[in-house]
Amino acid sequence: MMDSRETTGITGTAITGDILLNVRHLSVDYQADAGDVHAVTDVSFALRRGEILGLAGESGSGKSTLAYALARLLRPPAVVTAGQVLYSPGVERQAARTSVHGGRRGRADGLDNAPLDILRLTPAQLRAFRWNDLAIVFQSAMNALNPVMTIGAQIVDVLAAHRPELSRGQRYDRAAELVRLVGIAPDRLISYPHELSGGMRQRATIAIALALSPDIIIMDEPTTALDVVVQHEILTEILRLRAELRFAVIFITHDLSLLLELADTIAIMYAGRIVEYGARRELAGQPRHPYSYGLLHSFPNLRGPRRTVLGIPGAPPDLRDVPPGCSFHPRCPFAFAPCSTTLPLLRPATTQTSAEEHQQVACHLYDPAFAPAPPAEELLAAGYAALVRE
Amino acid sequence: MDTMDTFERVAAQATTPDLAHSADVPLLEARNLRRLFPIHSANPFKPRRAVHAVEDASLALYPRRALALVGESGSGKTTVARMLARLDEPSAGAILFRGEPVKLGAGAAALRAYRRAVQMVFQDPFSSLNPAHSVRYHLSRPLRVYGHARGREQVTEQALALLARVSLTPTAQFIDKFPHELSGGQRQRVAIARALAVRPSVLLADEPVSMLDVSIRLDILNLLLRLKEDGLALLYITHDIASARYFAEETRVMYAGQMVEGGPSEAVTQRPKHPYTQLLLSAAPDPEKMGKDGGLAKLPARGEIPSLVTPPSGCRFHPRCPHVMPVCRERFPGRTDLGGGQWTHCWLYGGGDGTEGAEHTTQTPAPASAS
Repeated sequence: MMDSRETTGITGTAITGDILLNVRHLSVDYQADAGDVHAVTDVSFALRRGEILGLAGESGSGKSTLAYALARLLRPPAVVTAGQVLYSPGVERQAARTSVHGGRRGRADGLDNAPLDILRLTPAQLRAFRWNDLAIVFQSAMNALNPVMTIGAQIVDVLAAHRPELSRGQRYDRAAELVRLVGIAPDRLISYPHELSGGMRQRATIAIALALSPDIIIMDEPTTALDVVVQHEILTEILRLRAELRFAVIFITHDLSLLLELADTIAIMYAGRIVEYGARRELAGQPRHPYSYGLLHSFPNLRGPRRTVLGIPGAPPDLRDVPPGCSFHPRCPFAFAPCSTTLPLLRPATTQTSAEEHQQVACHLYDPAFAPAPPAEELLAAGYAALVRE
Repeated sequence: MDTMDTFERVAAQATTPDLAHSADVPLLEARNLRRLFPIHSANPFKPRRAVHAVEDASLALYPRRALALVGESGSGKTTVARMLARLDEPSAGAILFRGEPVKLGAGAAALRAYRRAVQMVFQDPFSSLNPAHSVRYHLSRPLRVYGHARGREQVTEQALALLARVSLTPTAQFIDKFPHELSGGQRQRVAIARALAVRPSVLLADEPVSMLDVSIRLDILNLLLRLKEDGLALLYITHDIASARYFAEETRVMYAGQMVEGGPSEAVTQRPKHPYTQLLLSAAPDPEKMGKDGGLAKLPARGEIPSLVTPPSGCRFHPRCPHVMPVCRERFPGRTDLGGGQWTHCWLYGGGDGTEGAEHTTQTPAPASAS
């Protein structure tokens, strides 16, 4: 699905790098007696160096499960049933790993530039991959940090495990450098987590994630527990660090308004599938999928004239028994005959693909086989307005 | 429905439909509430210390109107609601219900009489419902305790009516469910139905939607809006200032236990005067701002809420304020009326008495919104 993107690139954003992570047809089930829960179904996307990809969706849409699958953190009953997660470290990074670590962390097959399938790494390879190449910032900093270790000790711990060649003094120097990077004074290294405010704790978890300069950082709702002012500061910090260190971010949140300020690309998930994918500018300017449209219009605006807030009636489906066809059709104001029978797949939102256009949407309204012409935005607005009046 | 009729009657007693007239008679009023939480120290010889959670909070709630209380966590907004719900006793100040001072520290019967009119909805629907009890039990307790229903049949009938009122349909299916079988939005509806079972005239909603998904938030807010139009007086506590604009007629902004600005929501959100309100507004995510060049707006100030054990002297915002002046460190400014019902406590606008800070009025800062 990414072929068109690889040639076009996105103008005006920071995404110019090579593809770091290529997720192909990934599916994750939670196995249960009452029937398997299909948490993630057939998800494909690509992440470029320096890109911030926002994953948005309601709770239960599978966004966290997807992130944990990428980091191989899933435990039974969660099982990856299909798909590949291909990681392509840059040439320099490959060279650095074989020279610094004497080939110990190198790949078993000896091929240097072929991508690695994260889902097939051996335990030893996985230990080398995690945190070196991919780090995670969890939602609740209070639970992610060890309450009986100082912040400094927790950073040094990471360095001791992954960089045994560094001396004690070097590790502490690096820890001081890391906390300064995220905006904490190095004298706070001797503080325990309970002595820090929520914002400081979240900064500390970001510092730990940055310890080994990973290529990819997954952030699972890192600011949900924080106040707006602190949230804004953390987001600004993430943007600054991204520009400085060129890592890619997968940013998971249920708050689409955050992604509209932060992300380069946005993927909207519904019932385990990506229903719309595109650059932030396109998605904000013209959401195509009826669900994305509803999501974008379900929060009140702060400035400008008061607009009607629509919301999406109904509730997300039970993932054990997803409706046939498009899983959104029971809630969709525009559902027509094929929606309940045929599964829509991601396809370009417009027929004429210009260089700027690569918004993709999984909706029959945009499929010439079912709908003669794609709907205008006013039609989406009218459909929702009629639904709210009912 | 019986419930509705009674409710309308109570609401009609409490208010006259004429808004201008009812504006004179607040249903529930807080005057100069103050709350200190003493800190128990292990060392008996240390000086006694306290958390200054709320300092001088005043507000008034009117039928068919909503007041939004906005601020960061730790600003004391929940403590104000808890004092109004009489879950916490104020250290100083008075609560007036229908113009009569409420006798604080009176017995259980007086407390129950008060709570017959004032009910609260809590932030987290996952912990405010008892997991061991069904929806029927949660609704039947207030109905029986407050004598609105006797006997099993009457209770069931009224519980079903309550579920219909909060749009949990089909009601017969929901009444025997347990909290774990419900989604977050459905739980919050049950929590609201439980508060309504008492047939209150004042509803205190403490961040009723902050734990819910964005798409469900709006349903709950619309439900509360409908209840407001039915005659309830609402206190809406939130840290999301955009929803305050959408939801409430009046907005108050709290910082570190002090009320710093207030007035009609439209004026406070569109023409913020206090530097803290400006900071809060520029930090709020805003979908209107994006799409042009992306990126985040630069904040006029940094940092977090100060310690409330040893709060900063004078105006508590002065360590973070971009417009700080020497007088800010010395005394808390009085109230300055800005016209149109908007007021603020800030030396930049004269500090209340019109003489002390008069020379500073020319330095009116530009509103923080960059657009």
